[in-house]
Amino acid sequence: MSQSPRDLLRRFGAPVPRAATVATEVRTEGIIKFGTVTAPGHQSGVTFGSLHEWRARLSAAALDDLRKFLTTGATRPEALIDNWMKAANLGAFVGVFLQTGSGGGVVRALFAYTQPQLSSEQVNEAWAQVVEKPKANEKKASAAIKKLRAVFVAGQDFAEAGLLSLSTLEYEKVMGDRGSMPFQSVDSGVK
Amino acid sequence: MASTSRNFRSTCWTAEPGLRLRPVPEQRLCLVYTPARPALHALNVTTWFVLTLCDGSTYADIARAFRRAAADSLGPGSGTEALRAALTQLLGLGLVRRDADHTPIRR
Repeated sequence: MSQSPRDLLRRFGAPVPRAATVATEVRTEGIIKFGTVTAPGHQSGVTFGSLHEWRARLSAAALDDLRKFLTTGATRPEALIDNWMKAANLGAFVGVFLQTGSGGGVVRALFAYTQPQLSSEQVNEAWAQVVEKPKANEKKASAAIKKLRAVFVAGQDFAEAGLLSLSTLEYEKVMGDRGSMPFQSVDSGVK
Repeated sequence: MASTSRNFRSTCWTAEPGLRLRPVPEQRLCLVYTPARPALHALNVTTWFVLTLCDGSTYADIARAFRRAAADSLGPGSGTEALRAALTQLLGLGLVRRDADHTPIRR
């Protein structure tokens, strides 16, 4: 049976004309290999057991813009955020990292928390304060965090995750909490 | 839109050279690659058919051929307005060009 467009029209009727450019996925072998690099200048040996991660995939242009943003200013944005986290007694800003080995511009921002006595609500309240009502000496940090957040949120597949140190987590206590782990009795039996 | 109408009627329509067509009849569409400006386009069957008619023919010739095919088919894409819409879209994507000075191919 002929598969010409004329015959297809005859057999199936004529839909409203439509022609559109297809958004194609471009894959290349261009990847950045993993290796050791110098630590960002703001890091000062903070120890931590929990992290919060923002993750997003950026276009090449957006990645370049982000890198330029992170490397400008007398006090760089990462240092501004780090200084604020330390001053607020939350922890430290580990920095912005580029995922290697997979291609694409996947970036992560890592926030370290060092004060186990703080609840997540207290941490969130501190962030909300610096974002919405920064004090005079917090305005640069506020601008930096807002800009960084906007870049990540505008990226593809934006996601956030909390990371807890497994070895120091009160595992049995957490897993035994039926309020947050209702399927644990099933999950624990699956090998 | 008299001037637009004249533009349609007074020119010959030719597919841009170098187009690479990959029919996907099971989905009733055709993928068209434009090497000169690397991009991939998807045409549904109506627009695909109109593209095949753009061989240097005049609008009148294309309209006649389109009407003949459309006479055997039904659907919202079988009228004159649909033909003009198809040509407009093809032109917009750079898949066809209009050539006022081109000697039309007689069918």
